[in-house]
Amino acid sequence: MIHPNSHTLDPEKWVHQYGDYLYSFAMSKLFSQELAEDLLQETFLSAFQSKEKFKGNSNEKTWLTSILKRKIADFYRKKYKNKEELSNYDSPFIQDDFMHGRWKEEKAPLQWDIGDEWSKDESFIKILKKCISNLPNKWKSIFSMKHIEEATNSEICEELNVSDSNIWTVLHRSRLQLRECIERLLKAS
Amino acid sequence: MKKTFLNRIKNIMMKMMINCEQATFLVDKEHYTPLSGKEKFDLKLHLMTCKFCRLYKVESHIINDKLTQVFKFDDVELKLSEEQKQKMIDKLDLDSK
Repeated sequence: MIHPNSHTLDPEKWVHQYGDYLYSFAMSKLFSQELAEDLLQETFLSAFQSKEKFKGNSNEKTWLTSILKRKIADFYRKKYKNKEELSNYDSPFIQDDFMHGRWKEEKAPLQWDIGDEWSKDESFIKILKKCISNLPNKWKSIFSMKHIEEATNSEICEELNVSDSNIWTVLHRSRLQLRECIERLLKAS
Repeated sequence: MKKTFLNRIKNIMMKMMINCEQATFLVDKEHYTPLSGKEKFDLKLHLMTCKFCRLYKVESHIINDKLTQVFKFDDVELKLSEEQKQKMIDKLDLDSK
């Protein structure tokens, strides 16, 4: 590959110098290679187009990261607004009057066989990532905003136009589903 | 007579107590925000009587611990291949011209 220094465009330097960093950053929020690449590409392009606006107040890396962060937030926002996908939620709790709200027998938590070393265990992280990516997109939007940006509920309410109680419900359902998914994959592994 | 009385007490208790759905809701909510005094009390009472929800709480904490790790970004863990990088640069060249 030939990139004569005299000819180096800034964006080229960005790709080489910050590409891996930004890609890792994007992957840690998006859990999809394809998506991470797409948003990274968009980030470089936006950065290039608004190059003049970069005042040098922060360093290039921080500046690029902030653009990428915005792209990721936008992506999740759009996903949330996409109404097509209605998740049919299979509650692990009994819904009829008698025994209402108790665990369904087949859905009740089981003891996980993970041993004491689980906290150092990479395979657990892998399972968790997989289960997050399996969440319905709408839930993932809220769940990710809550965890990536540590957004407060009122910020999410405003951004996504959902009620506070809706957010709690989504977080709860996401976590119920995560738990169930992890248990299934642990058993399979 | 005594049995029906006890049953009635039990029924009243059951009505006062929160169910598993509500208890797990509080377990999860507590990861994000402190619970009110009443919520704490309700949860504690439920957990005393329900082994499934006790287990849920343990697992919920394991998940939470790992979630922080998953979403927290430390440093470069992944690398783009040279090919991917070149593709990006080529696209940028095209788009910016």
